[in-house]
Amino acid sequence: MVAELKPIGLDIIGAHGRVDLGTHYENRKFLYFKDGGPVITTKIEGQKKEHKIFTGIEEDGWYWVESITLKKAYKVNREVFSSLLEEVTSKWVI
Amino acid sequence: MGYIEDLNEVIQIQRFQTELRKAFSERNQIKSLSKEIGENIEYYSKEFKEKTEEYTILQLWTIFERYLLELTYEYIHGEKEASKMSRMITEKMIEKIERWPIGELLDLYKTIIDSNTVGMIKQIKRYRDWLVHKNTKKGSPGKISYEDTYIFLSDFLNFISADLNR
Repeated sequence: MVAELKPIGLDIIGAHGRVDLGTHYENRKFLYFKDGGPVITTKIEGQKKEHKIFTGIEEDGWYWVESITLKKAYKVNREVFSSLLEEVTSKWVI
Repeated sequence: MGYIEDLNEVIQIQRFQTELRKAFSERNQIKSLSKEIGENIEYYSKEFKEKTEEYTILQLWTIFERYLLELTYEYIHGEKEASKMSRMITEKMIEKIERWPIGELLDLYKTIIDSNTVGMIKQIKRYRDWLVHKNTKKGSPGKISYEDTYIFLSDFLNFISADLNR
């Protein structure tokens, strides 16, 4: 087995599902987001303002979040999947 | 306020553990640790990864709680030229707030942050509690990764901090 796709659940805080791609040693998390992704709404002086937590979520689908500081989400397509598969499998020499 | 630095440090320690595991594995050193571990590398590696990620969530939550209280005190300490009596009442209030259930404290923030977001933070608390006790009778609450825990908790504190600095 090169790697496995492991369903983690539908009950995911801030998302609508999670599947992990990985080996026993390393994994990448795919999250299912609805269009726009999770938002924080503030109510300052009676004015509501929506703040998107992640950028790059423009339609419903599976996404991978690149970094916790930039919070950029990439839609999982063949290219993203292939490069992540390489990342989780190529570094390990067992 | 040093919450970003403290939260970041927890993430850096988690990354360090990951890199340490990689280095060990790349040099094929895990097999030589002991016969028991050598024969069950995949099992222990998976367990180690899961446990360190869980501990990271617990640490992030602990820092979040501490700074949530600190930021709440800043709202109370607003008046600089406070009288002696006023200062005494403030100190007493702070003492009481420390004993409040965290859920009640979070509910106060519904004044400036929508209830769905506050609810999401409470869900993280429930998951954190579940990680501590793992009471199978209660069933697992919604899950969250340590990366998303960092993002949601730090964003929540950022909004409170921004409100204080307006």
